[in-house]
Amino acid sequence: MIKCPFCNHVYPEGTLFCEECGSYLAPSRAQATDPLTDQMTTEAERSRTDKSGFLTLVLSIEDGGTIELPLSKEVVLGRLDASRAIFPDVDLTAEGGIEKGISRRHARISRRAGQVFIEDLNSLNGTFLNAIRLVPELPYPLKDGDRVQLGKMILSVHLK
Amino acid sequence: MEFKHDYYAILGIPPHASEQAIKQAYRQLARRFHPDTSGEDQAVERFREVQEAYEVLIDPQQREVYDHWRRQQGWDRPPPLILRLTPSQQILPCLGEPQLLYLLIELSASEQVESRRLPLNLGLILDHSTSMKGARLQQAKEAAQYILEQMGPEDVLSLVAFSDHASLILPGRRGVDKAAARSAINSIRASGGTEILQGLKLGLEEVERWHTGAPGGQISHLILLTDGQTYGDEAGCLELARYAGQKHIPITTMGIGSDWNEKLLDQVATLSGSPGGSFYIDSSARIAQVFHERLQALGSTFAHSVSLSVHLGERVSLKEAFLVSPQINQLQFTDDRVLLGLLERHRPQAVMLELLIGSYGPGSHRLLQVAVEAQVPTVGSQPVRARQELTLTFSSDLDRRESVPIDIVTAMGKLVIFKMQERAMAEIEVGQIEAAVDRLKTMATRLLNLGETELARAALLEAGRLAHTGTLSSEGRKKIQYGTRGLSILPKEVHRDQVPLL
Repeated sequence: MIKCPFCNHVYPEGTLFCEECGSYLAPSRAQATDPLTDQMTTEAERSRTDKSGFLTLVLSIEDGGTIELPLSKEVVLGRLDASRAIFPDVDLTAEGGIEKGISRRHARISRRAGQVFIEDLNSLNGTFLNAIRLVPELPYPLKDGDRVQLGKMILSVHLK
Repeated sequence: MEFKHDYYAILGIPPHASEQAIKQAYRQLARRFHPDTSGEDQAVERFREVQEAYEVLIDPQQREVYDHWRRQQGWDRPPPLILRLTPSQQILPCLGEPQLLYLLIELSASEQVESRRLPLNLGLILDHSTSMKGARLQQAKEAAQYILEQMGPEDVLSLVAFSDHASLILPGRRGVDKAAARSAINSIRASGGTEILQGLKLGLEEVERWHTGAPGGQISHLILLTDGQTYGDEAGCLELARYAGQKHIPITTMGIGSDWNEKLLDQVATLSGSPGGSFYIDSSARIAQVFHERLQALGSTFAHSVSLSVHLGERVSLKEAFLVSPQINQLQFTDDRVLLGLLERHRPQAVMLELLIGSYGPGSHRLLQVAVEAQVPTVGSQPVRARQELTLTFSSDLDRRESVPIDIVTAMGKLVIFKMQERAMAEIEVGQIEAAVDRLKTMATRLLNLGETELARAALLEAGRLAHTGTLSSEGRKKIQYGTRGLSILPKEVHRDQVPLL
């Protein structure tokens, strides 16, 4: 049986969506890493030898603090919940994450072939990039100076 | 030369068999049926057939003539209907408990299908009760006039107007007398109450008169337009709808405004073989457009009397079934069968089955069989059949789960919103207002995630109204119900090869 991470309803293995809250149900078995295609490995190699290799992600929270961290591959933003074994790279609980409607796994910022992307991870209250709401699970290009909103929390993004 | 036999079948070889294959088949069969040595039944007859077949097929010139004749008979044509099954998993784990498997069934026209517009046997049933007065009746009449203009010499058009009794405004005739019809339609006035049964009965009778006996096949169909509630005759309407379904005369039901009974119109539609359910026309200005779309759909229909049957294996049960394309609606199987009605050339129908799979040991197991039967007039008068089995492998040491095909994930994402909507409506009916309010709000969030901002807004609006007043606005309710039915599958431009890890 699988349990919905948001509303705890139980469903038979293989069920894709929770019928109570509509959330996507991750399969309980670990998904295997699919082998990289040749195209992807060349991209990885290219980005490794890319001179702009080291990138720092700077998130300035409106009326709040600033978080700086290196962006090597990807960074997940959300709220830490040890009981559910959810450990996002950036934990926004201290910045008022709960009040501002931030999901435990809210958004992901990643790097691929020298480009930076942001992706909404099916968060409850959504992720907005320069006031446009992101379609979940789709990567959108992220630039220096972009304004990102997670739930009600507004962040300015800088890349250096 | 006069042919009448299937020579390839007589020799037991495929139509593109080589000369060598023909010779070999002939030798074997000639030996088997030689009258002097064969003990087989009707050996003389069979031997003669084999001889004849060989003589034609072994001579390249004669064979060419014969092959051409075969093509004219339609013998070697690829099937007009394509049936495709896509399960959510190809390999399943051996579990000690039931597991869920999704099966997407897609029915579409093959490219070989002729794009000829089939003759129509169309019956219009229009409500002319007092409430239709003004723009509504005006638009309905204009829509009827529009349809009239599109009719050709091979089409049959009949028109019934009803309020508390029904009148045959336009009796059916092959090749409509357009001038007479125009003035007859014009003469319709608004008056009286609403008794849908009267209209349905007369309309169905008229279409049934022309239902069989059209050379080259035809599409029989009824379109019902009403704006009101009918009282006391619901059971009669359902019975008539069932009868229409048996006769394969599907009914398209359309409701205008917000005062009509969507449940009844839905049931009349689905029982008669329109699995998508009823249509909602929100304003009189849209009547013409909807009629136009329906006529286009009828014009590109290539198959009718389509029915889908599913035969499940012992340890498989059907949890729920839905039509997911061209729109979303729940399906009821009766005796393993469901009527899908008409199939259009450029709009495939897709059905999603939610199956509960019991315990199977490791190895391949045949889980179910899907069969489709339809009439495809351009191919002949015999029903066309397609059949496919679903056999999957079960493994006891499955350490990974394959990616679920993206089509299934996106379809289920929409379907779950549709289900939530149905649930919310049911909760309102039994007075569980708080639960319904929450559900509508959750639906709104999910809809926003899908980019359906308008529908999300409608859902939020109604959730607010519900919380304050305890009821939905009838317009808002219909908007949400029909909006969720119309959720279209994501365009294929969104290239995702696999479901992302979460």
